Order: sequence, then structure tokens, then C-alpha cells
Amino acid sequence: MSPDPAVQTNALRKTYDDEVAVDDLTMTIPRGSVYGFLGPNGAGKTTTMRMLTTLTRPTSGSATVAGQPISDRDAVTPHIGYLPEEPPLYDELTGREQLEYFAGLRDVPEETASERIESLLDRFDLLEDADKRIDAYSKGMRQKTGVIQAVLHEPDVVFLDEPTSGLDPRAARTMRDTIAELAEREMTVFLSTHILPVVDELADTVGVLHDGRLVAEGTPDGLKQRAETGEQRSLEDAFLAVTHDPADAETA
Amino acid sequence: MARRQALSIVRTKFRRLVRVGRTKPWLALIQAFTLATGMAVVIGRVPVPGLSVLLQEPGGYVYGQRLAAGDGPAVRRTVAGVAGIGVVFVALVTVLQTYTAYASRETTADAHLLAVPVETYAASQLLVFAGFVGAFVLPVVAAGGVALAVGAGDPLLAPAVVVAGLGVVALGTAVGFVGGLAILRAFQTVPQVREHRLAVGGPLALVYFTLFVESRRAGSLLGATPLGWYGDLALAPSGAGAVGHALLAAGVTLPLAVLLGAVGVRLGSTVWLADPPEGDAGQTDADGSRSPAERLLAATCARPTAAVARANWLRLRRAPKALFFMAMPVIIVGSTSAELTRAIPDSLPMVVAVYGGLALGMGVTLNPLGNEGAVLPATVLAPGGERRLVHGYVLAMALPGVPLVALATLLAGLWLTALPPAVVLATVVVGVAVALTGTVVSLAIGGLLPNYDGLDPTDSAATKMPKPRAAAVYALVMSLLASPAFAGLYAPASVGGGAAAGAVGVATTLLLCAAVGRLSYRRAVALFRTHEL
Repeated sequence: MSPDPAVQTNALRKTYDDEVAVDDLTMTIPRGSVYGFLGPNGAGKTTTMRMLTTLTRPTSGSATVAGQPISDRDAVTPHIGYLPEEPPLYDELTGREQLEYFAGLRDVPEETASERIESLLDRFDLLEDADKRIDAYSKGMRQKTGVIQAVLHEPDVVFLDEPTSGLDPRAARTMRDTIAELAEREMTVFLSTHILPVVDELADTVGVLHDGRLVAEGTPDGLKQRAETGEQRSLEDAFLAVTHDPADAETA
Repeated sequence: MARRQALSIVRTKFRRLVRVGRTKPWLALIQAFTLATGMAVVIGRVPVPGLSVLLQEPGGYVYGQRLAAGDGPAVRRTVAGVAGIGVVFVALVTVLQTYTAYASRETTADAHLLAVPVETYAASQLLVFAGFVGAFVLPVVAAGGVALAVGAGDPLLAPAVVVAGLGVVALGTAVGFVGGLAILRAFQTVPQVREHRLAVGGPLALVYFTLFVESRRAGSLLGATPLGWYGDLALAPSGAGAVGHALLAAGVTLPLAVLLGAVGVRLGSTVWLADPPEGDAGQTDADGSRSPAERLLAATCARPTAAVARANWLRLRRAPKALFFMAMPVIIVGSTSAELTRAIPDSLPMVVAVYGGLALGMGVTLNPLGNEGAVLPATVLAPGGERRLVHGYVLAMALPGVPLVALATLLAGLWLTALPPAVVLATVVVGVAVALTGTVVSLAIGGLLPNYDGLDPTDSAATKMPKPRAAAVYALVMSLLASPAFAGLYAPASVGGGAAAGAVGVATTLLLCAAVGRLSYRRAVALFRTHEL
């Protein structure tokens, strides 16, 4: 019998009054894979991530994450890590204190936590600044601290919302390597980003959300084949093709 | 050109404020209520059937009558005192506005500084602060002036009071603007001052709250200084004020305000365009060591609970502005408490105990969701995060706070009253119970009425002031919890007071604390568990 998929949704829907944010979202993400989640601004990506992380309840439909129903926050939370678009950090703490705090909150044994924190700080080139307060950190340093915090407890599924945003090329490279390494460790990465080359390089599967609906899903190469425009048949061409709104084209 | 630019900035600022008021009717209602209360207080007792029940204290109308009856010197002393308090109050509010406008680093500030000369921007800030304070103070002053004029039967008093009020606002704003910028400049250039900023802010906050609590004493003190000359100006048409002082106040205000404004503009130019202080780029005060309290916590509590409590302490220590919220009870119950202790002096220890519980809640636990800010999603996603959050917050507040409340109550009982030791001890027990219950009560109320206002994603983790509504509800619940013990311990024998009544009162309060505390704990945990973002 095959293990539960990392994420499975069934007709997931979220509305705010009359506004439909996510509609009839059905998808399956196998364990240990990197899922690139694409979509224009306002497509419903963040709402989807919040539903899957139990931070928002769906209006209808169901989903499981790491085999646990998202209606049961206590069951889901030990298995997930989440980096929102704005890294959740206390400005008044130092980077090291922040990571120790979350290791403590998640009850990671102190010795294990110390080893992991040192190793990850070193990997992200933050060791020198680990004892400076976060309010003195650059955007990139905050982002890196947020990612370390999200994976510190070694979750089964990690949700990353624009993890490479604000990073310089070297840090972005480190982030991409880290994501690839997480997948190698059988951690599932749910990656939402606007930076298509990142998805192209890392994702096993790409899902494109448009107006709250999943309008395309497949491997990056498979999606590129669907590109109807553009000479290169790149992921960008494919993205533009599947999120094309005929009404906009007519009025343009 | 510069004037047009400055006025455009001011106009836009006020347009934004009006729109905020429209989208937050509660905020507008609180402001309207504050304004109406201020106007009612300055008008005071009037011979209108029904109103005399609400407005019993003498105000503008009664003082006008006394003026007409020839009691000019006494009225002059009062009006001069009010004027003196007014100048200091406006100055302190402007210091606060100047500081917070800079500290919050409004995202539009840089855009403004790139679009207009820094002097123009500084002038616009001064005008915004004056306009903001004036919008609250001048209607109150005008109401007082009309009441005084009607009471005295002298219509000229109304415009004279308004002119004096304008002088108070102009001088107070200019002084506060310069003062606020000078403090900011000192923070930028003197590391020792920046490091001990609480020592600068603390006395200012103390002066501010003393103006409310000890208004009579503050008035007689300030009225005797040149600040009281605005009282002479207000009373000039009646002849009750010193003519020389009135002329000096009228003649000096404008040049003085302009001079101070120019100094402020100059200071502003250096403050807003200054590089960040060197120390801020690499604060390394954390050496990884743990205080004895933190070590005790680690040894006795679950690791997640200890982590929450420690993070709270670290944040409070490094961003001590939350401690200023502890002064909120003074605004809410300060005058009532002062009257109560005047009427029943022996009630002082109980007032201290309840005030202690209120202050702890308002400083630490009354806005847990708002204080978590952008970290909230990560906190609630920790397994069992809601319980750990509640336990950690309770510990963070109770561990240093409750013993302090007990000690303050004990000292007040032993030194400032002649109560028997048994009653003092009972009051300490009540104080501990109320303060302890207050930890969970404040978390439950704060969870229901969180304040996310000013939640800026780039400064999301800074502590936020609790919602005034939450503070009012919290004060009410805490007062109700203590009231049986209060009634039992301090009721005179003629109305059934005595040892038995005291015991029943204390027991009732303890039972109420247990019941309300249990309910609040469950409510707080449930609120965090079901919280959606």
C-alpha cells in the first residue's frame, strides 16, 4: 500500500462573502517532491496555502496534509513548516534567539536544536550576524532566518511563499540548493513564487492557479509544450498562455 | 511654493485621518466621546434641569457667575491654572507625536523628503501636530469660553478665551515640537541616552499622568508661572486678569512660536536626514546567557512554555514602550481611584492591588494577538501553540508581576493606613488573586478585542497598544472581581461592616476569581485555537 500523498485536496473552495478566492481545487502532491505553485497576483495562492496550513478554514471541500485532515490543526501542525511572504520574526530578538524560541516552542530537544541552528546559520551565511537583533537585518537576512525557522523542526511538508524574494543572487542560489536538498531528504516542498526559472529548475510538478481555479498542472517540460505563443516555448510562455484572459485580449 | 507644498501635505494628512475615522466608527466614537466629555467638564454645572445631575463640578459657567459676583482673584487663579496645564499638556502630546511620527518611520516620509525641501516638510509636520491638537483642544476651550461668557454676562469673554486657547496651542505645540526633536537628536547622537531612553520617557509620562490625577495641585503650581498669563489674557475683558501679563502673553506668543518653529525646522532637518546611529546597525547585547529567572523557568516549566515567557521578557526589555501601556489604568480609573481614596483613605491598599493587576494586564497581556503581529501564524502553527501561548504569557506576566503587586499592597497597607494586620493580609491575598486572575482575563479579553492597528509588515513584531475598548472592559471586570472584598473590608459597621462581612467579601472575591479565571483560561485557549488569519 502506497503512503498517503503529502498534500491531497478535493474540491477545495474558499469564499469571502460573494468573492470566490479558491474554487474547486483538486490536486495530489506526492511525498518528497517539489510542487511549484504559480499564478498571477490575486489568483488565490496565499489563500490556498493558508487553508493547507490550517490558518484559514475552507468554505467547502476537504484536504489532507501529510495524511492529516486540515480540519484538525493539532494533527497537521507537527508535520508542517510555513514561511509566509513576510517572515514571521520578532524584531526585538536576535536571529539566534528567534530560532531558539521556535525550536523551544516546537519542543525540539535543546541539543538537537543547537546543532541544527548552528548548521543552518552557517549554511545561510548568517553565523556572523546571529547575535544581532533582527531589526538590524536586511530583507535577505530576514528571509533566510524565516526559512531556517520553517524547516528547523524537519517537517514533512514545508510551504514556502516567495522564499527567494529580496535575496541577492548568492543567497538565492543557496535557497535553491536548500530546497533541492530538502526534497532529497523526502521533505515535500510546496513552493509559491513568481520567479519562473526557480520553478523551472526545481519543481517536479507545476500547478497554475488562475482566478482561484487550477487551470494547468504537469511537469515543467509538459507545461512548456502547451505554450501556444513565444519562440522559446519557455515556462513563461506557458504561464502566459494558461492564464490568458480572452476578455482582456478583446478589450485591449 | 513652499507654503503651498506644506499646506498640501497637511491637507492630505487630515484627509487620511478623516477617512480612517470613517472606516473605524469606534475610533471616531471614542474621539467624539472624549471631546464631549472635555466640553462637559469645562462647561461644568449649569442651571438646566436634568443636566445638573450629570455635571456637578463647577466649570466655566459657575466661574463666570463668580466673576460677575466680584470673586475675580479666585477665578483668575483657576483659569491661570487651567491655562498652565493646557500648555504643558499640549507640549507633552506634541513631544509624543513628534517622537512616534519619526519612530514609526512613516513610509511616505522619505518620499516627502525627496519631493520637497526638508524645511517645508518640517513646517508641514509642525502644522499637522498643531492642527491635530487644536482640533481636540480648541472646541473644548471654545465651549468653556462660551460658558464663562454666559455665566458672567460678558460676551467678550468668549472670544478672549478662544484667543488665549490659540496661544496655548501655538506655544505648547512649538515647545513640544522642539522638545520632541531635541530628544530624537539626543537619541541619535548620544548612545547612553538612547540606551536608557526609558529614563527619558518615564518622567515625561509621569508628568503627563500627574496632570490628570493631581490636576488641582498642578494647576496651582503652573498657574503661578508665566504660563498662567494666558489665564490673564482669557479674562482680560472682565478686568480680573493682570493687564500687563495679558499684553505680554498676547504680544510674545506669536514671535516666540515662530522662533521655536524655526528652531524646530532646523532640528528637524538634522533629525530626518541623519544617518542611523552606528550602534543600531549591529546591536550585539545578546551574549546567550540566561538570567536566574530564565534558568528557573527552564528548570521548572515545559520547554515551549518557557520559550514563550522568555521571548516576552526579552521583547519587553528591549522594546520597553509596552511598559508605558501600564499607565493606561491612570486614564481609565485614575480620577475615580483618587476620589475613592480621598473618601475612604483605608481603601488605598485595595486600590493599589487592583491597579497593579490592571497595569500588568495592560502592559503585557491585553493584546496578545496584536503583539504577536506577523509571527502569529508561526506561533499558532506550533503544535499545541494556543496553550503554550497562554501559559507563556501568564508566566511572563505573573512571575515578576504578582509578587510586586503583593509587595506594593503590603507596603501601602502597613505604611499608609492604620488598618489592622489581618485586614492588610486579607487585602494582599485579594491582590494576589485578582492580579493572577487578571493574567488570563486580560488574555481572553485581548483575544476577543485584538488591536492590529498600525500593523506594518516591515515592523510587524513590535508591541501594540491594547484597544481602549479592551482596556475599559478589563478594568470593569477587575473592579467587579475586587468589589465584594472591597465592600466587605471597608463597609462601616453602621451598614453591616465588620469581621464577618470582611471574611464573606474576601471569600466571594476569591471564588469569583477562581470561576472567572477558569472561564477566561478556557476562552483564551479556544480563541487562539480557532483563530483564523
